[in-house]
Amino acid sequence: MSDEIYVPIVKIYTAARQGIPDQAEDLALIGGRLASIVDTLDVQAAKAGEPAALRDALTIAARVHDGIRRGITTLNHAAVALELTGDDYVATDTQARDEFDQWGGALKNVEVTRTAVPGDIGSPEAPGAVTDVTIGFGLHYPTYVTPSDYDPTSPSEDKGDRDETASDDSDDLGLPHDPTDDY
Amino acid sequence: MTFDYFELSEQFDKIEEKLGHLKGNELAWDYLVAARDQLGGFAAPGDDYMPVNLWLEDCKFPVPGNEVDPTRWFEFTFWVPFDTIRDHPNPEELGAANAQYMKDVAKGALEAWNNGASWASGLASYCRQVSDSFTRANAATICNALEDLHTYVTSDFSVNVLDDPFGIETIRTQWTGKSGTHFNTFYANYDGQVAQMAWASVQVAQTFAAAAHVIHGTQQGVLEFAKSIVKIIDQQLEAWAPYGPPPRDAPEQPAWVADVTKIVTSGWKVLGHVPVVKDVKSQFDAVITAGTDVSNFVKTIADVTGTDLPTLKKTLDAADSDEIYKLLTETLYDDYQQKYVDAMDSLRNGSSIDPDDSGYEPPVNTSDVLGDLPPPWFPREDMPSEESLR
Repeated sequence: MSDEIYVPIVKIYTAARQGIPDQAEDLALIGGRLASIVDTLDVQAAKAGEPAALRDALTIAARVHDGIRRGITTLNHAAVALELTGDDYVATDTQARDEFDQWGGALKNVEVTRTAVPGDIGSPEAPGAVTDVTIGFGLHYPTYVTPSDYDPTSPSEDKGDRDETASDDSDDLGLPHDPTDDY
Repeated sequence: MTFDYFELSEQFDKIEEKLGHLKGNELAWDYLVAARDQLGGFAAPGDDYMPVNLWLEDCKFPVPGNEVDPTRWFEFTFWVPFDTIRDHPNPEELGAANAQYMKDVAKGALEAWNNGASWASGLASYCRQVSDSFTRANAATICNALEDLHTYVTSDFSVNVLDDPFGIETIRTQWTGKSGTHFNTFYANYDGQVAQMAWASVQVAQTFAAAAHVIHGTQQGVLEFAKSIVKIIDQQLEAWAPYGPPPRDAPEQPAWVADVTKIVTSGWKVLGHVPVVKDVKSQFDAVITAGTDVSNFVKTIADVTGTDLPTLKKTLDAADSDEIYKLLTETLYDDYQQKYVDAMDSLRNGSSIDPDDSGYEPPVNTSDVLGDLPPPWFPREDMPSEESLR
């Protein structure tokens, strides 16, 4: 490894094993909550007829979520890179090895942790929404929420159909035969 | 006041039923007039005719609670030529044909009355379709989600990560080589990226808050409106005298129509604008404050209730079912649905929805926000992957 690092080994391992994973955990927590909020907003946007502004907002939210996922991935990589650099440092530098041997901290024998990256939330801006409906006893199943009608039939069209029905009904009924015609 | 979709839906069902009754009265009345006119009216067709007058019997328009009995209004005149009476072997048969006509007319009028329901059939579904876009969403659910968005997302983002006790700042500057450079770049941009995400989250909250206000205001308005239409139809059904004839006057009470544009702009003005920040990193606190303002705004949305709303004046010109139908459907479509669409669309393009207020701009313009978003956050290549390091 060609990298050089001029930091005490304990600092390196502490950052790799705790500092950076903590940041990743913070982001993961936000990501998890954001996913659930986006799920709610996605359903409501579908019910609101999927206005373009709400689809834009969902796109923005999805990008934030994607940013969080990338952030966690990168932080995981950073922690591992730092850990490996530390290992290399201990293996090749006497002072670093001595410092490591004398280190009595709780993190000494801890493996570097990788924070779970929250699942991809896909494209909430796409028409409709899929959400989990809980039916009790811990059971739930995915349900598709259809978008509301943003562009309904105009009143004149409905009125035309209605008047046509009335006219047909009236023709069908007709008037009784006029008896005076026969006189 | 929470909007109850089923309450509105029930009002639409009532409207369909009652307007069907009103239309039924009109159709049956018109039928009776046509049947009477068919006989030739009150004037004798010539000198050699004898009038035979018969009153309509057994004919009631069965409006629940407002039954109409038109029999006192309808006397039919059958003009029979003297020759026919004189030459007929049994003139009583002529009377029987006339009596049968009267029975057929009474029966036909009831069928015509029932056609009122057929005319109105599907009206409730149509009203539900027209109002679908603004009645299914739940403003309170959106508002709760936005408060969570502020509490658990926007305000949970933290910057100044380099001040941490883990020495990342030291490592950043003291690590050379490929990984070190990536590490340095990544952390140099970290606060800015996080601040961008917080800013974008506030934009999401701002857009949905503005939308929740539109949804809530429109929903409050539409229920009041539907109730006022039911009242108007009830008044007109009552105005049909128990013995006819059709009412001539339009109802005095105007329909209650919310001024959706005014409701929307008045709320949006309170919401204000999220400051446009060029360098969100240095204005992270301002971003969080903007998020807090949005969060506070959503807490007030539910306070707007039916009686507080600004209204439009809508009076009826006539008293019949067609006029009421027009008032109902055109108001639902033009003054609610289309205004709702205008308001929602303006959140994307930033155009004003209030023609009386030229200086007014909607609180968000999502096209601009999308355009301003730096793509994408935290490029993966900022750090080499674990595999590439082993």
